[in-house]
Amino acid sequence: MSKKDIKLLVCDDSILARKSITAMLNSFGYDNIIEVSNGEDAVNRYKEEKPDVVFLDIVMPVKDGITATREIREFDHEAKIVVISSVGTQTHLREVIKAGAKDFIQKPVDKDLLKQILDNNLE
Amino acid sequence: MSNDELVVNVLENSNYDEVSPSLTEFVRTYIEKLVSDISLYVDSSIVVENISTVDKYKASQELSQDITGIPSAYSAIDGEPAVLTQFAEQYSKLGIDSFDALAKEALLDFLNLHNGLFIVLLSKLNICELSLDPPKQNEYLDITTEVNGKITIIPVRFSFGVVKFLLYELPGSLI
Repeated sequence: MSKKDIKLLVCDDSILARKSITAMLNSFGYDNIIEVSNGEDAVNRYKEEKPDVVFLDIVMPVKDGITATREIREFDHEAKIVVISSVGTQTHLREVIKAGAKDFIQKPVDKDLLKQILDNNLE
Repeated sequence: MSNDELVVNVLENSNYDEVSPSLTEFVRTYIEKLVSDISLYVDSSIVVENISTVDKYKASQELSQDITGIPSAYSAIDGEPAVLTQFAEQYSKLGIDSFDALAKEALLDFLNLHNGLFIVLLSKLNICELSLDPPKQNEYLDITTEVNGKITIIPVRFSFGVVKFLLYELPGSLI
């Protein structure tokens, strides 16, 4: 599959975070990126669009990222979800793994780590 | 100079040593992490002015985030709009030149980043496991503390002015 066929979903309530993550993904050659600002929209857009990889924040209004991860994984057991958050506490990491996320990235996002994790999830 | 040395240096030149015995470990850790995060992600040429505690605080806008768990706390950023605008630009590098929605987003993004890294530090030190509510913004800020409650004000001077960071550790949730 070529990069133009790959669809990515970025969900963060912070416009800055979305801009920053999307800019990094663009720089890796991916342009088909859906942006949403809360977990509920992420679940809904996932069901509509079936993106190849989802990037989800944890702390968000309406629906948090851990609940959204759980709901997306209930809908699609193969969903590839990477949680990107500033709250990488032991408790949150346990919850993220239990909810079904594949990886966790601590904010601020390291561009090389993001690329490595994206590549791993697209293999 | 390493970031740790910079934090020590900045705090040595403030009244931190004088006020720290009256602060809880939670608040002291917050201040030290705040200085570290500002110097890493915004500007390392900073001066912490007199740290103080008050019972009440009012401001013309609220840019805040609740830290939840035991202990729980309220955190906020305040300052003159022109100064907050400069802070937002220095942090985000997005060309922010007015105190608009994007500037407020940048301020809340920094607050969320710092608070997140703060609770990760507490978790790593096995002090406590906390969480965060989403950051919020409102038109007015009016905090009145409960009995024995104190709002700690941490004024940080940059080349463009002073930004005040507020932390109110809720009484009854202290560890």
